Amino acid sequence: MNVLQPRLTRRALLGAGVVALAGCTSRRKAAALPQDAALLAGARAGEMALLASTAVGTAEHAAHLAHLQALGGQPPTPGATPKSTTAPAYVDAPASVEVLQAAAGNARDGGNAAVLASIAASHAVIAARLR
Amino acid sequence: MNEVEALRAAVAVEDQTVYGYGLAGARLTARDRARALTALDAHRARRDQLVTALTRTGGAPPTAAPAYIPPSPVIDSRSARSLCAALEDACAGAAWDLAAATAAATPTRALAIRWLSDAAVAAAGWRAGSTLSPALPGRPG
Repeated sequence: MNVLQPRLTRRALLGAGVVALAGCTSRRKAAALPQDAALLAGARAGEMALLASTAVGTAEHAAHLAHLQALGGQPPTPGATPKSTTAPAYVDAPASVEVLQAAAGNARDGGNAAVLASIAASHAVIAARLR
Repeated sequence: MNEVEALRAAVAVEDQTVYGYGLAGARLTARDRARALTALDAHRARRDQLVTALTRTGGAPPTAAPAYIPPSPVIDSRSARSLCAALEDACAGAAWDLAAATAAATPTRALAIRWLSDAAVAAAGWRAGSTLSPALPGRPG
């Protein structure tokens, strides 16, 4: 007997009686709703600062690039003049965790909240590794 | 997925995780076993918090199954650690869904955010460098 409802199977890991099938929903980038625009812009500027401070080719650099793209940002082009004048919400990963968690808590759009919370979680992993 | 659905899914994932840590703990030794027992307590507490939040919204908690089948046999410490990492990944996924389904500045949103970070850090600890951590923990797809 499978007690897991179909809606639950994407996150189900252990099968109850039978092995649950895993599905998948589409990936999502942060949506720039007006009320969340400042939160997202601060985080994008923060990720740009972290990209500039990590070595290209490292797992950490790749992670920050993925964070920037999830926030709807574009990777920096060599030689291009940065267009953003937004101050970064953070400049190092360990200090960013609380900032990002607070932003996730305040985001009006649930999808934006999830993206910001996930980036906070990724930065918490990086911070734990540095300890 | 609305908040009640996300909370029900979250409780179901924590039910599985509590069971799974019991299963894995039997195959772990020394420091890893102690870590699994600490995690077991933390997940029980989180499940209780989620049940409280679900009840507050008027939803009924799902009934935990008496037993669950792991995705692969848990036969030694390596497979037990792998199960623990997978359990935490499942928690991160449920936490993502819960964060997405809740309103801003609510206790349940805050619970989801903490849960996502805790799960990501725990999963990375169980992997211990054997596999790269995902750049966006919990993200679907």
